[in-house]
Amino acid sequence: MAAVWELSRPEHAGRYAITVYQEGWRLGGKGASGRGAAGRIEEHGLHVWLGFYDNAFRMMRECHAELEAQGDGALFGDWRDAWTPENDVALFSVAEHGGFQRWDAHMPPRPGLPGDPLPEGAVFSLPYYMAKAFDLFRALLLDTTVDGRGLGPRSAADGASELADAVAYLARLGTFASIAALAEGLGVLATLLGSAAAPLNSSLLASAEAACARLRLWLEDRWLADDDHRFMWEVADLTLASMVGLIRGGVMFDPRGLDAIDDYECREWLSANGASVRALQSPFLRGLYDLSMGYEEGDENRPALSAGQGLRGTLRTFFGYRGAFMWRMRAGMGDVVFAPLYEAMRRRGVRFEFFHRLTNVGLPPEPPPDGERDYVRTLTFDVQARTRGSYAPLVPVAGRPCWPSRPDFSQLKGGARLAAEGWNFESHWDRRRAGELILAVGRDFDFALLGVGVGVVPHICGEILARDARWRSMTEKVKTVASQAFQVWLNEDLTSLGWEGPAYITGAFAKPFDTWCDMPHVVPEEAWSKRPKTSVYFCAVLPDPPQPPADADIGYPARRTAEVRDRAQDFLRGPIREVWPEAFGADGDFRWEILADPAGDESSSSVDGPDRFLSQYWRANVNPSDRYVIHAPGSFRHRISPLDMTYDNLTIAGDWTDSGFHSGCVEGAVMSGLLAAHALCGSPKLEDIIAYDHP
Amino acid sequence: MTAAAALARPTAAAPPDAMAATMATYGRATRLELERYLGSQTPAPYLDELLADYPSRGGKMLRPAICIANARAFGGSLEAAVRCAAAIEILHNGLLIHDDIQDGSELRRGRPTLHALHGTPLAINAGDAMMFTALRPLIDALRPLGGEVAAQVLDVSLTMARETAEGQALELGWRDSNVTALNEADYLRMALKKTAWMGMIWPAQLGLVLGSGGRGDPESVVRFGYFLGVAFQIEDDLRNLSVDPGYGKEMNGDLYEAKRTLMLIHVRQACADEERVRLDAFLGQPREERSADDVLWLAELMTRLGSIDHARAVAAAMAGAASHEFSLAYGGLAASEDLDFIAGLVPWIFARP
Amino acid sequence: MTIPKGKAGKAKVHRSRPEPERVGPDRASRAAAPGAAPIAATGYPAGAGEDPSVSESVAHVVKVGYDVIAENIRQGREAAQRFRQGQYRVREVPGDLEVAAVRLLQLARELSTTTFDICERLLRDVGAKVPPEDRASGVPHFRAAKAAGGGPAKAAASPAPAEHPPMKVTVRFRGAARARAYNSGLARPKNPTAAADISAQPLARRTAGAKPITGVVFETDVSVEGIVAVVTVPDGQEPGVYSGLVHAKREDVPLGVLTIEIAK
Repeated sequence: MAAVWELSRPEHAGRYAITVYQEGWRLGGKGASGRGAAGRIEEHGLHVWLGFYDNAFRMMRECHAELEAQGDGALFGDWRDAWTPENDVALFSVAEHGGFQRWDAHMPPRPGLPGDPLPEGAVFSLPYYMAKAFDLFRALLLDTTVDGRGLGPRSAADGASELADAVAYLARLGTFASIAALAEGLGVLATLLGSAAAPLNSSLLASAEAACARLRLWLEDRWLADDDHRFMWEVADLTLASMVGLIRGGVMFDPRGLDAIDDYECREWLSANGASVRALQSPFLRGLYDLSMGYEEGDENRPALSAGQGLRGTLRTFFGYRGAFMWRMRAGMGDVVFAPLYEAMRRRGVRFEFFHRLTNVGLPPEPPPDGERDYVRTLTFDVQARTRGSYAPLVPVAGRPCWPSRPDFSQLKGGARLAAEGWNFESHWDRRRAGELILAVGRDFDFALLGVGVGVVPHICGEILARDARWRSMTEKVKTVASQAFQVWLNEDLTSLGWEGPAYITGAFAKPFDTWCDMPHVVPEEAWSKRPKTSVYFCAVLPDPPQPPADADIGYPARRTAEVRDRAQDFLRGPIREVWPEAFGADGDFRWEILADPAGDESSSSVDGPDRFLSQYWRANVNPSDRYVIHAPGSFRHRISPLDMTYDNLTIAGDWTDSGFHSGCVEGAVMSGLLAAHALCGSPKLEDIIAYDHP
Repeated sequence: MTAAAALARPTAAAPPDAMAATMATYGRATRLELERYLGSQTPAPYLDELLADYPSRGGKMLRPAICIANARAFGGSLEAAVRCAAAIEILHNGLLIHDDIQDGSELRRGRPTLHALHGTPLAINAGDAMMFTALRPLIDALRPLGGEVAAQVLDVSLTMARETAEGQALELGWRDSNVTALNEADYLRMALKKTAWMGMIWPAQLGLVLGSGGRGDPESVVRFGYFLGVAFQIEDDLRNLSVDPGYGKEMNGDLYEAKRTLMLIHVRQACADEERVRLDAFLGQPREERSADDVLWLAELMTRLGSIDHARAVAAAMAGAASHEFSLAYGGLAASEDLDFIAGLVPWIFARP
Repeated sequence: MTIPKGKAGKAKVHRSRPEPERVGPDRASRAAAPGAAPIAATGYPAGAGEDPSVSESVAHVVKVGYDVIAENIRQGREAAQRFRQGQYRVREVPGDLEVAAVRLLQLARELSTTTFDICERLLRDVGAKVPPEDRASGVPHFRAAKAAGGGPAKAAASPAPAEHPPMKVTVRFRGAARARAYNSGLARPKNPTAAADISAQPLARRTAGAKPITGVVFETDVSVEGIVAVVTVPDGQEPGVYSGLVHAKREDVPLGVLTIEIAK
């Protein structure tokens, strides 16, 4: 979508005639959402926008501004209405003797807003991060050291002539024998590392490393005594290990940036650089793995995240956010993101063809002669259904245009029959169709942009894979996981269930649904006659079966979905007790009646007991296009850039490409889309893609 | 000073007796494996005996020990590491046979060289056979680790082979063309390629790749191995000039062979013009025409002009650099006896028997 | 899927994308900035330059030594780069060695031709058949949740321990005697305390006739949780159970009692 957004810009004055071919009835892929019974929002999973998603926010801010300029500002509201800041996070740690310990973190708001232009001259650099980290440690040191008297910050060594003095001064501090010397040394180091003119050389790094060594000792002492703050010490421990690793590995100087360590598994790398066992098991790290779904084949015993991208993501997350640490969407991602994008792009003249599923990307029969590039010759689609006239995909809910959870069969030819036969246009395993469409290069299109999920590529790019080893290794090495999610609507708020705020999003909780989020703010957007108090979203990875399902296995999604339902019910009966003790009745069972049933809004007709869960929402994201891309160690070198020139008239986009930010997220997808647009028309400039050149 | 300090229990260089013990342990394990691979099912006349000869003469088993210690320090098992070590040792012995032929050496570890015993053609043949045999244990060690690791091993091995060949060619080329105007950089380059790469860097790299399961960076140990190898080579050259050069080598053998050592480079730069004339004439002679008088004169000149002391100081400085590089390359690993062993290689250069 | 349609006429069947200025991110940023000296050029051993005991000429050789290896590594990287781009042949003779070219060729042939062919074949063999093993790493898994409160909820399972959980203690023994420890935990110090500032009184046997054990040292080891008590048992120490109070420096309340048993 980001690529289409760029290519359809008014600045291009309609130079490109763009048609979007979309499987099923809605845009958004993994990010699509729909409105179901009682207008309730039904998501693929839990989506949060982190405060550093600059490219994504920039696009959405432009989109909202464009609609507003056309006089339709009220339709979707200002972007500030669509996203609300969130600075509180809760993480859980499995306690040694069973049960959980909870850790709340409040991230201070920071200046600016995501998507703002970067300050003049700002560059992303590892020394900058290290300076920040030393600053933090210094603050920590001064905060927690009783005898921290007389440690005013040494006046900053700004003049270039003083730099040499500062380095010499550091050398004299030597082994940082006292806490005072350490605090002072950290201040100097932070200043030096943060200054562009500083001689970033080995003696400075040696000082930094010595400081780290001393910090580790100091940390050990703290940790022994201070169990109350063990989580903080664990994070400090991991930070320290990262800094040591960056110094020792020469990463600071490496032109590959953090890719230099991307062959390492994140926890192994931290371990090799001195992180303690307890820090490696800390909720912070588990939260990172949970949020990135970094488990091979969804197996919680095989955590696998690459160190480079893990660190890049963490640095961006903690040091790169603006405004708030994260941002919650007012309603479903489809409603807040894809509906306004659809509306704005439709007005720009982009054509949308729904119910078109790409089935083959055709190349010429023979490989190109030497010196020439291969190209896409045909694009074959299943026409899943024929529409009566052009399809209007949005429906109004609570006064705003939204995507429905089901297609509008009344707009489809023979729609009643399709509905009765239960055609599922989003199931990979449901191949029923109304016809076929073949587009030919030169006649029907000049350029193709492949915007599917990487899981789909093997199914539609057989001709490319047969010829192209890089694409083959990409489909093998860029791994994805399935995910599972469920949502409940509650007639009581979480406080009355025994959960103490203010955190809305919680991570590193019990498997299988380790991440959940309280979403009371979306309920008013829905159309209940009797409004529930809140809605809670759960999500997690979903382990794959040992054997992948056959293409003809039409019942596969339903079976996996039923599994998710069973697990969700068990989860509510089991681990939820830890956090919502009041959700359990005197008989010790989950009080199923607190679930809001849209059918029985008036309550009397509702079923009771565990079956009441059937009125809630759950799904298994097993479709190849719904699978979530992870960044396993070493996988970065198998990603292919949208800028890649192997195919003359084809480029790719998605969070699975070499977008510069190799994480399955909105920002990665948007960056990839911007790159794809650049590949096709040279715009936007690569320098304008924020953090594309991040180390 | 810095990296090691970050560990809760700092790595301490193992003392010489511990070094000897570790080397003996790892050497024994390697030798068992080596004999298993060199022993053939069907007897091969003119070959079996030759293959078994050099390995049976003993040797310090330095390379295998470096490989095994690295593999274990990086988290690998002894079993796979021993196979790898056997491969290294077999290849090394194969190369020794060829070296001796190329150098025209007469003694190896106190006994006549293989070609002196059996003639050059059979010796070349045996050397070839050993180099190919070396692949077997290597492949066996790599098989369970998969293609990526194997590719890395092949990569570092090809680099080693090229570097070693270049080093050998350099030294022979200098000698054959009587290249005299060499400087210290030339010497260091040669020591890097001829000694360090195969003797220190490559075994360490194999161990690292094997032990880390392909997740370590083989380049990270290059500098350590290099400085270790250079210090080792200089010390070796120094010992050759001493009364008891060890390993059954002839005293001042390097002078007879006009080997381009650090001392030779230094003495040629430091001596007076007329001495340089005599020296260059000496270097220009065929080996068998070089007189004992000239050799003694040269040895004495090296002492008088401080070439020996200079080389000794350089060796110590290189060892210091090796220690520094050790802390950079291995600083992140958990303390272990194997790490102590690797650290202990540096002082062991001078303390070894 | 989007398909931009060009409006211009078509000379060949398909149109080509513009050539991009680059095809990947430039992550070097400050690493490549002017003034940022490569680490190789400045990474001399600490103090080599200043130490008066190292003569200038020796220091010079060390510097040359670093230059040599830096140059070698640079060449290696270049070769690897070319290798990756497919312009490099294993048997290529480097140009800087023309003097020794003949010998080199001979040696390279000896070392390479067949060897490399065999290697490459075996490598294909290995790569084709064997999948990489699971990550055999020493890093422990994340802790799995233990079944917490399977039965009916008796009380709010709020996990807020009022007291600090004990500090885990691992006891390691030095010396010939067989011994075991009774402790698994001690109280935490009230103030930040280095492990070295924790001490034990001599471990004494309840029944008379045995010398107390004095060699108890506390240290931290990041590989285990908690602290490590290293107990050195002298040769010939009488069997029996020994114990002693453990104190943190500047704290009067002991952290607990360290108890060990020497086997007969």
